[in-house]
Formats: sequence, structure tokens, C-alpha cells
Amino acid sequence: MLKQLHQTRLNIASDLHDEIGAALSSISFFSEAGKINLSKGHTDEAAQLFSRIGSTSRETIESMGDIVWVVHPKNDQIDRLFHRLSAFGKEMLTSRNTAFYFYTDPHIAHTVLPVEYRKNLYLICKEAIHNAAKYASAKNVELLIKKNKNKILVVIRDDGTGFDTSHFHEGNGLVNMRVRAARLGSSFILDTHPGRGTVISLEFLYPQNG
Amino acid sequence: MEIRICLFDDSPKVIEAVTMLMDMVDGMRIVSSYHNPENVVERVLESRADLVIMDIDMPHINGISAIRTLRDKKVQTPVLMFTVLEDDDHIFDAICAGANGYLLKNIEPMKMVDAIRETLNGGAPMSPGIARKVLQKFALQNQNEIRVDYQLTAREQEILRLLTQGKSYKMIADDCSISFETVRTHIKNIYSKLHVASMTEAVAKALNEKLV
Repeated sequence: MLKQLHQTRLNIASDLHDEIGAALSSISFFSEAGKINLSKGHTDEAAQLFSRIGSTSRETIESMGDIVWVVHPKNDQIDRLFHRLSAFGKEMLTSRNTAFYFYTDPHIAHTVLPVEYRKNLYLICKEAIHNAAKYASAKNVELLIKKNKNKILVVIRDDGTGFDTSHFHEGNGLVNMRVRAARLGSSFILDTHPGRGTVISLEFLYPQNG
Repeated sequence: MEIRICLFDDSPKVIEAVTMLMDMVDGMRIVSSYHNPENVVERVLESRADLVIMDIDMPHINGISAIRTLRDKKVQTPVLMFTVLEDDDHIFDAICAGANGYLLKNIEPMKMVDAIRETLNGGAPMSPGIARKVLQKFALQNQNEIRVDYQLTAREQEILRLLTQGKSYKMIADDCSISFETVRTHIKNIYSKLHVASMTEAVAKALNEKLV
């Protein structure tokens, strides 16, 4: 148990380090590029770089917010995850005129998930919703999280444009989802076709001492 | 002639930012960038890169094993590590794997430009703290290498230690609960192994070479 706690602490430190390290490093380079642009009188380009610095900072603040939320003991129970994902989904999708349906299972509402599980599950769902919002132009997006015997089943489905996996080079988002699914010991199935929407499903065993 | 650079980093932000800066610097350009170093040899050769900038912490394959792969396949393209990681293990593994330099992500961007030029001129740029760690480790290792193994047994070592503390044979016999004769035998063996002929020599060697 102590060893697990130690590893969790290392993971949290590592996540923060990665996130902040990458963000600030890029801001450092953007700033320098901005300076060079200004010295050459390219004020439009410089302005764009300032915007980039701003958006990078904001994204990083959001990521840090996520990390802090995941770690906080008051968010131990799955219903807190439901709450946060629900808010995120609404925020992302309703502004794009997409309906968001979130089906949650009351049987697991009070289940306590360890930090690593919470984090990976939250970030997978967040990424999937984000992708649906950004790329799918869907009318409806559904998220389902439910208990299936001793496993948790997660399905994210949209009725949007879908994509052709054979011509598609998986970007960071999808790769990260797969990596996170692997950390959960979860299966990861991506089912998508142009014009026929996208479904992502996961299923994993969860520690049941809560 | 433009310096062609191949960049490996798992953060899209970092790739975007570094590429943007290099685009504004005369004489160098990021010609290709990747989120992880799969097929590193192909990617580096295909890009006809003059230099590689390599992150360490990437999914699936890390930057250090990527360098090993490159060197195993006899690809000598200079590689600069570009990372947030500054612990000893990563530094030394990277260097042993064949890295030509080690830059932390807090580097001032224009210093990275200098570092690239320096590397291609035969230099080995390292962020300040890193260079210091490397020097310290090297100095320490050199000290260790001077130590010869005289194959002393545990008992012999103990007796040698007591000798260096100025104890007489009798005191040593008492301390170790062995007979006077046994002590003498051990000491004869110690002299033989250390290639010395007197107690003063033995003690001097023991202290100088840190045998006890």
C-alpha cells in the first residue's frame, strides 16, 4: 500500500513536470520568436505569437486544474467524475449545437477509484468528448459509464462525420487514449467510418475494495 | 548551407514552438519532427538530418534507447538531448548511449541555436548544471578505478583495519577472538597479497589506497 502511494506520488510529480515543462518550454520559444519578429518589424506575426503564448498558458492552467482535481481526496468517488465530465461535455458541446447525453450507473456512484484509475478514465473521456466536439460535427454525442459485473464499461459515441482509419495517421490524442487505456488494463476499441459516426469503447477491471 | 534538423518530442506544443523559432534563424531548419522515435534510423536518414534534437520521455520508446538504436546501426548523426529531466541516471545513460550534448528545456532559445552550431563544430554543449555533474562523476570514477583489488578475505580486511588503528597483534587477537598465531598467519598472507614486506608498508598502502 505504501509502495503504491509512493508510485502515485511519483506519477503525479511526473505529470506536473511533463505538462508544465512542455508548456513553459514552448512559451519560452514563442517569446523569443516574438522578439525576433518585432525586431524585424513583423508586428502581425508577433501579435500571433502573443496569442499563442496566451492560449498555451490557458491550456496549461486547465491541465493543472485537472491534475489537482484528480488528486484531491474529495474526488475519490466516481460520482465526482460523473459530475466533472458532465460539466465538461455540456461546455464543449452545447456551444456547438450538439446534444450531449451522459448515462451513468448509480450502482458505482459511490465506488472509490484509486487516483491512477480516476486520472486515466477522466482524461480518456475528456479527450474523446473534445475530439467529437472539434472534428465530428455531430448532432448527438453519448457517453456511457456503467458497471458490467466486475468491470467498468465506457462507451463514447457520436453520430458525426466519422473518419477513415486507413488514411488517418493517429495524432497525439488517440495515441494518448490508447496509452491510458493500457494503463487501466483496458480494452480499447475504435469503430469509425466516414459518414457513419464514431464509437470508442473500453472495458476494464477495477479494484473493488471501496 | 542550411543545417537540417530532425526533432523528436512528444509534446506538439514544443515541436510547434521550436520549429517556429528555427524558421526565423538563418542557416538552420527543422526539416522533420516526430512524436516518438519509432523507426528512428529510417526517419533520421530519410530526413538527411545534420543533427537530431531528442526528448527523453516519450511513449513506447524513450530517447535514450533511440540513440542506442542509431549508434548500433552505425548512424553517427550528432544527437542533442532536449529534456526536463536532470537526474544523474538520465544524464549518464544518455551520454553512454552516444548523445553529443544534453540541453535542459529551460535553455534560452538562442543558446540552443548556439549549441547546435557548437555541436557541428565538434563541441559537446551541456546546460551548466549538467556539465558540472558530468565532471564530478568522471572525477569520482577515476578515483575508484585506481583501487586495485588485492583479494583480501573479510577476516584479512578486518585485521588490516585494526592494524591501521595502531593495534598490536595481541590486541587484534583479543578483538577477533583468535589466537596470536592465527593473527600472525593472517598478517603474513596480507603482506603477500599487498606485495609488501613490513607493517608500515602495509598500513601505508591500506590508507593511501583506501583499502579499509
